[in-house]
Amino acid sequence: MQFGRFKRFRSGSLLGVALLAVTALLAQTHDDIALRAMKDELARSMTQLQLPQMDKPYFLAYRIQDIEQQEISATLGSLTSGDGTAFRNRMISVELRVGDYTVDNSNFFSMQRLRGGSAGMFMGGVEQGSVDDDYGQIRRQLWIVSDRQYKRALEDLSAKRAALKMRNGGEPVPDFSKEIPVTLVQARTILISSSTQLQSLAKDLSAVFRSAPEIERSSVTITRRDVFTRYVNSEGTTFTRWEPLIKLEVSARTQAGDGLPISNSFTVYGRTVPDLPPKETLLAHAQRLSSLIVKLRSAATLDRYNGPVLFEGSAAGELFLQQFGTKLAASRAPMSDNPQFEVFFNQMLERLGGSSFQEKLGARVLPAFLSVRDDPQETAFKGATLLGASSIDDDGVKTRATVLVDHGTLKTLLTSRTPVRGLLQSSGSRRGFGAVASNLFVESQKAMSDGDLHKELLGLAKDRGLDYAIIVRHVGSGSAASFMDIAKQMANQGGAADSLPEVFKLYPDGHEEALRGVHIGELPAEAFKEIVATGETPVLYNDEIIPRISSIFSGGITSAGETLPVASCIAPSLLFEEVSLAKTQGPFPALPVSPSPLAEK
Amino acid sequence: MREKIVRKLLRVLLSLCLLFIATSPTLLAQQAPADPVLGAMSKELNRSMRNFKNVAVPPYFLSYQLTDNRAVNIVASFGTLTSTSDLNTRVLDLDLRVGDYKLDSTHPLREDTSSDEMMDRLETPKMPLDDDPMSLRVALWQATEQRYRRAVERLQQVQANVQVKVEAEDTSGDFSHEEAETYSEPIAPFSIDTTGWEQRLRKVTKPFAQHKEILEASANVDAEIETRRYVSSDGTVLRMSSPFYRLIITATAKADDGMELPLHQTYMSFSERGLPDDRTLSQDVERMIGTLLQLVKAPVAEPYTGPAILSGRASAVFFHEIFGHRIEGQRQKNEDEAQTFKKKINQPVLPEFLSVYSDPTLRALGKTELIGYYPFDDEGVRSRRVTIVQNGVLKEFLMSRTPISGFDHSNAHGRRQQGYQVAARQSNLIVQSSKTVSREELKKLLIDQIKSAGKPYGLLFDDIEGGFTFTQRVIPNAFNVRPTVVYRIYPDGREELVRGVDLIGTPLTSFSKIVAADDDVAVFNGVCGAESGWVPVSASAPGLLISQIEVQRKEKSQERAPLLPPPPASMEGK
Repeated sequence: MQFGRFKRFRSGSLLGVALLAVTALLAQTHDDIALRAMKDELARSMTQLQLPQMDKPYFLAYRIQDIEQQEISATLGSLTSGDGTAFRNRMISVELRVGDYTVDNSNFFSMQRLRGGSAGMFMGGVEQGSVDDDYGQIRRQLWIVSDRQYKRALEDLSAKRAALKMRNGGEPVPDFSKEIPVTLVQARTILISSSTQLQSLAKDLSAVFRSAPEIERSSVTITRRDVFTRYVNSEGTTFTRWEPLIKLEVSARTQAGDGLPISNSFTVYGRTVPDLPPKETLLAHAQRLSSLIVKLRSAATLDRYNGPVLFEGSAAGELFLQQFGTKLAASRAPMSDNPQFEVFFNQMLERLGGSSFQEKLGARVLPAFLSVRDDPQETAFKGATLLGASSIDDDGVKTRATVLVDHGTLKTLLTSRTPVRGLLQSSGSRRGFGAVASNLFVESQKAMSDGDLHKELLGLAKDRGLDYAIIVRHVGSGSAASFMDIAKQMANQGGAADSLPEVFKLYPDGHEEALRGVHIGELPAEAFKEIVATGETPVLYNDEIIPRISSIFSGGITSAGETLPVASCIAPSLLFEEVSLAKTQGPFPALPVSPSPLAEK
Repeated sequence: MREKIVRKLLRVLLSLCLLFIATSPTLLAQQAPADPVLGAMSKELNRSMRNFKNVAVPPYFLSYQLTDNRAVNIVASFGTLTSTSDLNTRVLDLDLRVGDYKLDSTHPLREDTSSDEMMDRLETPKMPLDDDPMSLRVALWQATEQRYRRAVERLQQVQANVQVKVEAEDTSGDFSHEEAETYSEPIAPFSIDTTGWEQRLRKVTKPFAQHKEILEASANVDAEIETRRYVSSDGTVLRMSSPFYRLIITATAKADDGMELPLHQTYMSFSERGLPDDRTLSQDVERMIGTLLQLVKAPVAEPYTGPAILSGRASAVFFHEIFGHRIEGQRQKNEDEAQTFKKKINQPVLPEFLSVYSDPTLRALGKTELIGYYPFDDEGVRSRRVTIVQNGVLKEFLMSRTPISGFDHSNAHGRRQQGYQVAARQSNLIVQSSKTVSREELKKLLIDQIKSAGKPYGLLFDDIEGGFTFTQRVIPNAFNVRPTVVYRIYPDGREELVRGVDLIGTPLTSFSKIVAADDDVAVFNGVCGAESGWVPVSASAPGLLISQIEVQRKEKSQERAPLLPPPPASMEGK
């Protein structure tokens, strides 16, 4: 009955109208007041900013980001946020280095003063700027922040030099890599996308759950964020870059009769609204999500499973990106004036970021029939926009394709301008506060049709005496899964592990049975070497990805309130020889005393 | 003549209305209120209470408070716009209690450090912004179920805790019985000229840019309308709606020795027109600039003990910090608190010429509006004037619905920021003196004190930006207020601006040293942060002469002033 209140689109194509793109070449170097102010103040700081008898800055970079963002969320057909207009602001950040490329104020954390080179940048190098293009005010802010950062950098460098004197051994790795200066000016397209269109999309998608009183909570969240970056540095690099991003997430959760939490969600990303699937498709997705959850309430479970598992469709990219892709980036752990703390701190960072592949260069990490390439130059896959695509990274380094794994062997890692042992140049991969994947292509030389893959899966199960095999179609718990697990562990908050939202038993006769309350017991990086076959159709999966935390101490953050970079992973279905699955254990929360008001007649 | 009739008519109408409200609360409660949001709240509250009747541990009290807030915020700095935001929010505060009035699930756990409140806040569902009853009810249902589960768990912990620990000193109950109330205000009109204010704030902040000593300067307009709806299982149904406008100008200069010198100017009103006009603003900005430039060159104050005058504004902050926070009811019960005044009821705590009131029913004092006004507190209790101190003698504490020994009822000071648990907090604190002198007289009295104490000078605290106070036992029970404008007064009457002082001391000693008050009453409007979040409060007081105060040097930034001169303001200026 309540549905009548919400206007429905007659066709999905109307969504396209939501976006009126006006292209304006705002970023022409000569006319941009902000860029002009940045260059003028940079020149002044590089020549004049110096305390007597102290180092001058050897490197200085200014970054100004114009950000327009809005979060629109809805539940059961009603907006819960974002009924107004988008919020606009401008962030100014300063990266200042004293010393030289070999030893500078970065990659250092002072225990005595509880801060460090880039922790200093992290704390003090970012400030909210004025949204007016006012030459004087932009220079004034850059002046104040540069002055502050210069003084901090000097203090940090002297503390770091003192700490370095106290230790010996080891061939030093430079603090900052030299890269070729680039000038790259990208036009800014001003988006006048109507909030009302996105609001009704959020409302209509969320209204789907009104017909499911069994579902306890549901929500639709659309986050839109347009960022225009201006960057200049003292090496001669200038770039401007426009990066809009839109994220739509539908999620719902409930409990089974025994209290087991059941939740599921789907997320789609795009640069602009037309990148999103048509509204009919999204509505169908939401409908499917709703019925899946309701069905799962009475689904079977299993106690334990050790055997072959097929990660099918986008679940392959999902698993690969989060469990394997995060290990493909290098990061430098900071040194400290307190060696004991350094050991502890590095262990903690390692735990927070999961283990890295830094010690595995040249080793076998995948079966010989698999290769992995990171390619930010690719902009589309089968008509879909790739979200890691960019011509230039956040350090102002030109991006390029990198072969990471060649026929199973790890060749190199993705890097920023902070070198690590053995990887001294940037691969053009800094996105946000550290190096991360852009578009990961997993390529297979042992591809099979879906039918053959299912046969292979059942064959492997039979060899182990199992009368069924397992297919996972959605891993769930999203981008921060591994991070959150560790954070939970550290906070000593056990709680039930997140169950796989879409996991099925496959029987030899081809019929499937959905399972609830099952989670992946353990899946170490080594397990990826045991992939036995893949599908023949690569599928695109997009997700946010967290750069390795220790990177914060290398280059600082580029702007406050920074969102995570989104990476694309293009992978075929992956068949693992052995994965452990376990039953999700309680205690589970008690069931509601009252039924949902939706159940009222 | 005509006016008189109209007034008379209005009075008759008003008394009729009052009569109606007074005689027919049951009638009102039975009819579904016309407000669909209140309707959904009542319906879900009643349904929950009904369904919970059959469980082993039913709640004995349930209340929903929904706060709708539209906030427009405009910030400018040095002549340019920093940001403009316009945000609508609707926040649910839910109070669900299992157990009974004597001992319930909210009972403080002794030696407990858990973060239940934080968890509650994180898990509370986002509330629908539109007035669709069904989606509102689903959200209320989710919150109620979640809170109920936690309350049952917590009651078990409470019962165990009470058994295990020594008997509490204060054995009063956990919750007071209060009258059911019905009250409804129309949704208040709200207007804000966003573009106009953006332009004005640019203009207001521009003059600061002409002075290299001033490193930070900004102006901030905050225009909000808040509509609060409250229903409880006591039968209380309330709707209150009120706009609120505030303008703050802040500027900070840096002296050559690195000391940062902030100045603030705050304006507050219940209407947009109540904010100052352009002329007043630019005059005030010029005055701020003048003071800052003088402060930069002013001598640094030395640590000092001796007589001083607190101006009305300074006294108001002083009383808010060191007196107001100590008469908040729950602090007399919590055994981690110092309970400065617990055993002082009916005993003198201030000089006989001083009385202190807390009066949330006041919207203004003279011409100055008071930001601590409210008709009902956040527990649905009707506000009233509370006499805290009469002629120097302590009479009452500020009470929420948490009783303390000797005080069984709330006096409508249960307050919170949305998303926090209610605590007894201040509203409009009014310090009155029955014996006053003129401001000049007060200065003369100060000079007499200086001379008789053999001090080279006394101090005048003209303005204070705020402060903090510790009321707990584990840390020294001291206060620190941060004066921004302080003068030395020499025996010959000369005044000299100084910088870098913090006013410190311990509360009881300071109160006993108040010797005189002037007739220049000033109001300090601000927001106060404590365990139940940020709440708007005011304090007003006359200027006070204190025979002995103590100041220490302000903690100072070690960072020197910028190395380079300011950059040119325009491209042509290069």
